[in-house]
Amino acid sequence: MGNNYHKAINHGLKKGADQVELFVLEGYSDVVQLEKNAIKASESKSVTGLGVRAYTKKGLGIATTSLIDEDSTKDIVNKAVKLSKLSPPDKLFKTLPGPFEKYPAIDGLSNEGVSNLSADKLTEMAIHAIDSALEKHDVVVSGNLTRSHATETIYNSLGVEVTQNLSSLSGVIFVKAEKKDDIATSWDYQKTRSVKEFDPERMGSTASENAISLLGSKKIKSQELPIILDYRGSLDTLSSIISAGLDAFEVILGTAYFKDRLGEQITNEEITLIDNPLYLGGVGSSNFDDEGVPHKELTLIEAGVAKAYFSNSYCANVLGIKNTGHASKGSLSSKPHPDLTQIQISPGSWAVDEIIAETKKGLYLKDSSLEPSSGSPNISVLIDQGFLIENGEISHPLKETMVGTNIFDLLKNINAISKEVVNESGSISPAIRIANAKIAGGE
Amino acid sequence: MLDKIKHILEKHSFKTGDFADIRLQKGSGTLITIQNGRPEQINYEKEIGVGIRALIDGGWGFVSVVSFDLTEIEEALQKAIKVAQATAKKTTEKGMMIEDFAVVGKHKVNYKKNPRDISIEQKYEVVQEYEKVTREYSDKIVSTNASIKEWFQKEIIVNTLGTKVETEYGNLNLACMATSREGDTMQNVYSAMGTTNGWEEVEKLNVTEDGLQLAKRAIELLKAKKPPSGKMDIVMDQSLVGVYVHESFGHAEEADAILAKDSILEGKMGKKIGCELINIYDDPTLPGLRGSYFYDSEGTKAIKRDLVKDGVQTGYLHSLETAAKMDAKPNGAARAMNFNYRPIVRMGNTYIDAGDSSFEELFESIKNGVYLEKSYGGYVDTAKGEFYFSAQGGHIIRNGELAEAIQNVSMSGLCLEVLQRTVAVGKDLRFDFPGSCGKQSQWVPVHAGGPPIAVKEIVVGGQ
Repeated sequence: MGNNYHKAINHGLKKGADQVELFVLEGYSDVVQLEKNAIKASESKSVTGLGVRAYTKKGLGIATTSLIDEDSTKDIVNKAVKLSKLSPPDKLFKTLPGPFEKYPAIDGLSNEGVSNLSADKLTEMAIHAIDSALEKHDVVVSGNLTRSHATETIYNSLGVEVTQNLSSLSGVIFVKAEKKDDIATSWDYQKTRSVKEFDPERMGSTASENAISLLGSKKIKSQELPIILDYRGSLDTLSSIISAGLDAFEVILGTAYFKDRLGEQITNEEITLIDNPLYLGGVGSSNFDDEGVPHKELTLIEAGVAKAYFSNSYCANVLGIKNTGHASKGSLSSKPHPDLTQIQISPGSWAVDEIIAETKKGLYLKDSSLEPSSGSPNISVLIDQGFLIENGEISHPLKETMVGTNIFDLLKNINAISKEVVNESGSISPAIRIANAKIAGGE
Repeated sequence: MLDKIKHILEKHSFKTGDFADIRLQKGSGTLITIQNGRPEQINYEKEIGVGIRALIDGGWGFVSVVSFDLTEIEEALQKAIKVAQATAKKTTEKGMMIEDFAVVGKHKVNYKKNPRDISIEQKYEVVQEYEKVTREYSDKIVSTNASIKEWFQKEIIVNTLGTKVETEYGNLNLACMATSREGDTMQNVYSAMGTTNGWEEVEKLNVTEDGLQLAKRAIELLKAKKPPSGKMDIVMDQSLVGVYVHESFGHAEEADAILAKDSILEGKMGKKIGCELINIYDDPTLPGLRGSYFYDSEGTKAIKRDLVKDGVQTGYLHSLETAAKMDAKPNGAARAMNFNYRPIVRMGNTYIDAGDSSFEELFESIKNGVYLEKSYGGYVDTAKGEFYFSAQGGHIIRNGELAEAIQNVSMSGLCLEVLQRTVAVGKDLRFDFPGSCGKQSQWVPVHAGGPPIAVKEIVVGGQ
């Protein structure tokens, strides 16, 4: 196919474009849908498409098609070039990236066990997840298991020519538990690059146990309390804050929380946070970003100090900083913008049990995060899975309880970080405690 | 093409109770975005493909292909049948299909002004004016993003019950977002118009005036007070009522959620679930709204659905399968995001019907609390019946009158409690929430609205 891609790029240049990029996706996914403790449906989907970016006199045209035969490719390149000529110039644009001499070669991005997994085996895994959820409790199980395989190819007119194969197994199990009029719901999920690591039984039993533990939830009064976030809660919370706070594109727009604050202490000095797309076996790992730029590790927060913005080629050129290789397209038709790949947060010095025991009264959030709302630094969220802590012990689950704070106060108020960390397929995080936040209770 | 697809289905014999359908989709659209005064992207997207379902011995199989080649479609049908047979052997909860229900029809979109006849340059000018006027209002508007998106698609749906439907669907969306900033205080607001009508709807919208109002709101919110925290009485504007009725109630009315034991409304048919002031409908036949359509993705003709009458639950939203399982009539609520997904039960245009209270009477009915304005989306846990949604801003209500402004905030409640605690329903019904609804990874265009309403004891998560 390489020759066809060259031809398509040359065709775009002949039509008058200054620079052309092709992003080709070829793959498939198999999904087993679960509903009411049984297999609802099995699906086998084609996931293919071609996205073309063409620049003419700094004007950008993007065109995308789900068909990738030669005629369609030529047609869609024509369309992208035509749009690039219609577009007024983006004066900030300098150039597409590349070429690059060296790329990392991370093992295990594509696993034969995953790619060759039979549909029957995937269905069996789904049944194991259901059986595990039902083993100890009378609950209602739904969810899905997915096997995906994709080949990503990026060519551009500056000489970037890269291909990588990515495969994964993923699943999410939802459980509803009921006791008279009391209803509780919960979930568990997993995504791995190998069959060996994938554990549907764990998903089923964890989701089931979680749902049971949330029965008997109670409303509490509005008050100010400390909040402990478990590993997933702290990972999701800090990722969401950093992804809007240190994004180089948001810096250009003026909306990055930490614009002009590199070198400033923004949180607890025990927190060091890196983005690591090179981690072996990580589901966020890959050899290059969505512009074909080689991936590398990036320290975003070191000892509580904001250290770097993460960027794509556009932002790096505009801001005059190094391109950190964080371009992400989101979908085939979208323009690549900076995005995080795989966050890893260093451990602190507290034992999780110690953090809970030392909290006289507070909240413990399980896989429930405090993310900024409505595009502002304000945080105003409903607690999905939370418990009241009284006298250093978990007392009861919570109902109709919200948290209100903002990202600056949250970061400043982190006063305990656990020494235990959880590594979920490359994303690594400790538990953390926030000294206090406004709690809006339903009582 | 329709007859050729029909022929592919006819080549296979299906026993009673078994079923298959083939859905061809061909769509294309453009997106123009301007951000902070510079062109962010001009984007053209073309999507073609075929989604094939088979129900064999109670097992569902689904296969998609990116091709209109008849041989490939036939092979995909055979694969879907095999997948369905394999599922049937493993599942304990059998799928089911309605009998004797065939639709033959054709629907063509009839625009007054076809958006595809409007040049890229003309579309760009509208977006440019919208973005420019918003950005130039104040130096404190640090970021702006205006866009226009147009999509048009044709579908052919053929099934083994005898359905043969050719249908078209198009939508057009114009939106602008502004972020104001002063130090660490940032407020983000947006305004959006979504329609299945043509370009005439864009011409009706005064983007200069709308942009100015948007920018003004973003600046005023910078000086607004931090929102309060706790359980309080609220009045919601039409946009928030739209999200409220969609999230807290509409999702729980989807019959697939009822059958999956995933809805708080299971077993509530014919029972009183809200105060008598509440009447709720979902109506995809309303012309021009974003959630309007003629045939659903199974080829069923869409009809108005009565969901709640005087506080009593009266109906569900159905696909062919849920209608069969619940012995009900299909009402055209099965929608798929595109050819790559199975149709599932979805809303179209959901709304609470108008009551008879004025704004003043609504504020008076709660005396003290908050007035929440302009939605920023939300979600619901249908099984637990707990919902959450966000407002772009609002005002304190003191002694029955509007007082100082407050910044963005979210709120939550228990669906059925909130329906029961509604104390007054306004008379000014508007569809102020054109949005995209996500369910099982599928996003479909919807519209929602209602009059403003007053509700007692909602949890507001302020600072």
